[in-house]
Amino acid sequence: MEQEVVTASAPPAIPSAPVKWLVADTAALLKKYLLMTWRMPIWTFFGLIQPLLWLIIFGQLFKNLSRLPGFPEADYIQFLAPGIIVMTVLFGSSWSGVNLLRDLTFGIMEKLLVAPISRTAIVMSRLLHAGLTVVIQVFLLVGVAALLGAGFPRGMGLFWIWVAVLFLAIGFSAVSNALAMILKKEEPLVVMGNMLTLPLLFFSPALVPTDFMPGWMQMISRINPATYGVEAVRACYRGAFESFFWISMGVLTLFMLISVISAVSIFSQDRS
Amino acid sequence: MIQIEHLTKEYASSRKAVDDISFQVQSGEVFGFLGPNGAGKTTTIKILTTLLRPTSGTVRVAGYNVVENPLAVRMSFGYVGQQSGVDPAMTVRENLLLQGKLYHLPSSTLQERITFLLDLFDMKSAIDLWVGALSGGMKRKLDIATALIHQPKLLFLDEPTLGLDPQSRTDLWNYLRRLNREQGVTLFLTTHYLDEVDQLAHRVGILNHGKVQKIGTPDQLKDSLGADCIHLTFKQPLSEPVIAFFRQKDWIKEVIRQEKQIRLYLENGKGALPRVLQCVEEQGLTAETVVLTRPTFDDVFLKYTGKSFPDEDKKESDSSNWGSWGKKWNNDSGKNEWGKQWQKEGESGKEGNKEWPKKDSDAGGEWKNQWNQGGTTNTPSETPAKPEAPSEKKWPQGEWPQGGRGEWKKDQGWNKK
Repeated sequence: MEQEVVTASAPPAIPSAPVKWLVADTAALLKKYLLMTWRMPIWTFFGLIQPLLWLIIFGQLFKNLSRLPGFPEADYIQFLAPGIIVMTVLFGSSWSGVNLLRDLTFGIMEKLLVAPISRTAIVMSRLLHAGLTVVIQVFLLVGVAALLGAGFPRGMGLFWIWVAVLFLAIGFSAVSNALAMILKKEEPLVVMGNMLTLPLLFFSPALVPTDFMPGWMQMISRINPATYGVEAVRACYRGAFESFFWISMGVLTLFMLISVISAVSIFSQDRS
Repeated sequence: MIQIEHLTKEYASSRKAVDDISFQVQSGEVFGFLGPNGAGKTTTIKILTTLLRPTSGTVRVAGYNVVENPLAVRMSFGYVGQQSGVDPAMTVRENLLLQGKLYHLPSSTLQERITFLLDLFDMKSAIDLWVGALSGGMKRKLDIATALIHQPKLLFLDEPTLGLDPQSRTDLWNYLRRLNREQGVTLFLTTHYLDEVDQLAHRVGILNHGKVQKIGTPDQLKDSLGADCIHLTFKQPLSEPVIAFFRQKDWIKEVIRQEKQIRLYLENGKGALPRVLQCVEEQGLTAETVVLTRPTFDDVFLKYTGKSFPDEDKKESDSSNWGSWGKKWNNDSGKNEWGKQWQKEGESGKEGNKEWPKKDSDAGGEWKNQWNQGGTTNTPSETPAKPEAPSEKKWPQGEWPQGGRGEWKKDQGWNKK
């Protein structure tokens, strides 16, 4: 007994997971999640139902808004489409944390956590998956919006829409995952998700131009990441890749980085 | 394989889930960790598997410190959690492949391992089935197979047979024995079934309130009590002379008193019952209820946690054949009465079910408070008794039943519901 203690007490130390593992683990898990999405494509389409309803109903309801002096677009649907794209991102990402909790409940997460894989890979694969799912949804949404008269993004617009949407989706998914780790329960997370997504949408120029908002709402909209998502997507539709577009993209990148880093650190520290 | 020294785990509420425990598990051993729900079993296993950080103390797994070297520890063990960690939306093969990739196995090794493991668990035909379509027993086997993908020498199992039907349980036990014997895998399992450690473990640790109460072989633990147990309930709390009177009888191995109730542990309880009743009359007492049962985990547990009267020099092996029976913790019934239940020999008894008194009833002695503190009062637990005392060897060497059963027919006697 004693002997074993002595001989076993000085085994070679294994340092933290090498970087190549981070990439390999992220890829392996991402592949798994994408395979699941591929096998259950119905959920991807379900996520589109609400945005489509909004696009059609809001498009009709506020049709005459574009007649107001100072309205930036000739047609309200042209104005609305980028807003609905960002809304899809918000709604889609807010479910990411719920999936995390599902994995926690079913022991799938436990099995991952006892494996010698990088904690960052566990989080990153989830976020990338959520981002890519949203990109597919947006791809479909852009097509439907074009049929409804919103027109197509100009130039490299479609590409930049995807980039903007990917960044925003990863950022919001990270927030959702971080909240999931903090709240640890599905119900409050869903409530929080609903409580956050709608205000984020209303405090952004998704439905109404910022100029039309009262001053205090304009103030809030400036610190809302969704605002910059809407502006970036809208710039893509207009083909106006000017300084404001690049500022928006910068804000989105920053938002994504901050929320991903917080999510990863919350996740890695959760061993109390 | 595992060294635990002065391990303490405190949660945020400053409740000590694990309170200064120390023990070792040797290489090649099957170690059973026994305790009621909330005793700290899962907390301990989570610390051992690096899922939780200890508050204090040193824990080494496979020679590596779990805090300083979690990655090395993770590579050294396999883990089968309470819930199935396999993904129901993937096939058996996909689950194994993914698991292998997460352990960074080269693909040729991985293919070999998958073939080997599916062979070991007789699951070759299930390779392309959806996990969601597998039976509970199959899913559990897959769980274990995935945990073994990287050929660990140590396997943690957290209540591995929870929720399995009796047949699958016996099956799983056989696979686990085989794993230990043929592959030399050290098993560390937690359970709250006495028969499970009885069947599998070389050594058992009893845990309650986050403390290890006793470590020993299953035989040692059980032999410390007699073959049978008689519970007597009276109207009034018993006086000290009465207890002393019972304790004097050389045919009673152990006496445990809880206010109005008394538990007598003895060999051949059926034969002794008239004598016991006679003694009760001699003392001028009238028993309200009398129940004859087999000592179970509760009793072993009671011995090591509650009032204990060590009297271990008399040891006999009685092989009276009892049917399985269950008990139920019941909080709904306000009645504080013990049903008079006589269990007949050989009957696979559902009639063994009885209701324990309400937790806040006045019959609550020290032992019940302990269970209450452990947060287990409302939890149904079933402890089927075992027909025969196990032989010294846990299973016959060199003989391995085909298809998982066969030699183990005797298990089936009490396996039936």
